[in-house]
Amino acid sequence: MSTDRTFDQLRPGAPGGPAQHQLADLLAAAAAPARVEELAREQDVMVAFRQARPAQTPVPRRQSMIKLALAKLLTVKVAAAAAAATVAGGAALAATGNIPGPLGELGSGELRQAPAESAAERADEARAEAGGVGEASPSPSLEGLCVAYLAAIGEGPGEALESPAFEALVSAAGTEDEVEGFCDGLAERPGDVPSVEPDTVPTDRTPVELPKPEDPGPPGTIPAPEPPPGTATDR
Amino acid sequence: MKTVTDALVHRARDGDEEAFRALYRAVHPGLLRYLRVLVGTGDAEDVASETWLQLVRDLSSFRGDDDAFRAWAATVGRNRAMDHLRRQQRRPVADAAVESLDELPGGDDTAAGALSAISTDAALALIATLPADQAEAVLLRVVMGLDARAAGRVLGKRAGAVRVAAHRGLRRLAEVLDTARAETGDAPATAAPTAADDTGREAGVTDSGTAALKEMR
Repeated sequence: MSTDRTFDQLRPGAPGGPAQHQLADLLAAAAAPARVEELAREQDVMVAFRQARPAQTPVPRRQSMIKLALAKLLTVKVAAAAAAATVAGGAALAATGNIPGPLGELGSGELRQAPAESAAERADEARAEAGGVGEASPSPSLEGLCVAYLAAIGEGPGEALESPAFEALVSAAGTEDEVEGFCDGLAERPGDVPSVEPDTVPTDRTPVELPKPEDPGPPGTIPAPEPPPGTATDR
Repeated sequence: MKTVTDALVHRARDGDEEAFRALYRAVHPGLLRYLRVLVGTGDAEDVASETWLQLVRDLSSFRGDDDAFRAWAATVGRNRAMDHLRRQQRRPVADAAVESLDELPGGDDTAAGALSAISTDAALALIATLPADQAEAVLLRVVMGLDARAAGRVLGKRAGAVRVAAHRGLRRLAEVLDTARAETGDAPATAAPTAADDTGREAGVTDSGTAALKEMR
């Protein structure tokens, strides 16, 4: 049978008449790289994967920046409040003793268990976090995305921005090329706690990043425990 | 035991989230396009989600490499699509073609599709006008990237039968393209025939194929 040879002849650049070329174009178009909208439900599938996989050692934080950002979207108000409190210092923290359990714990800094990362990356995050701290910040979720973006940028900005998770970031920044500048601008916006005492930075900042989706504990931090509506009802 | 420890599916099975994400991104677009032709664009996302839920659920018992996973995904996807069609009590393929033709993208879709002037949607719409066995053979080979043997296992056929079907499908596509090229300039009738049943399929191939090509230009 000749199908395999047929497919070979249809590779781009292969000899052939115009019809052959058109057919090759058509097949190439059918198999073209993914478009953003085709990956729109990636996050749902990732949630399902996380729930289905066996318990295991925590993955490095770098790998979970995107879902981290999404978790932040949900907890952003509480997190922002906590962050504001922690940055303002111990007195403020004491004053907000009514912060709900998990976050109160986080505020104490006891749960700082994130794996060590490069100082540069941590610095990036800290900078972005500083941008998210002020209570006047208009859209904390964008800052969460910026944190994720700046952390993921080492893997190539273009690739990172292909994730649907960053769509909002891209649209806020204007174009993909402007995202980095946009995030830097957010992080360095004047009036936002320009510099904090060095000793408070690591312990006070990390707690904000801790509500990870895979933590079973804190209620309200897991984006979507159920499968997407309407997809599995009959199974 | 793990001779191919680099396989994404092995790492995913061990709980590596990023490996699974990479696997998803590699497999899902083709799967979704295959399903679009099977159940129509409107339902393909839902069927794909059902498929992934099952893949995720059964991943721990899956044995095989990334290629085998691809074939498994196609098999599960096809089964879910058939379930879906049974529930819907309707036939595959035809409405997908018309639907896709109606929503052919304009020039704003060029970013990812710079490969050629033919958009992915138009290409799928054209493939969807083929008889089902040919369309599936072409899609499994070209879009899902399966070899004839693996495609045969998905379809419950022998590899030779898949080769024949794919060959016929490609030949028919070439004819459609050729016809459309010869007719360049003719204004298409506004209505692409719906080709909603098997008897109308033969006419539908040429007509809606032509319409698709006109849209492509």
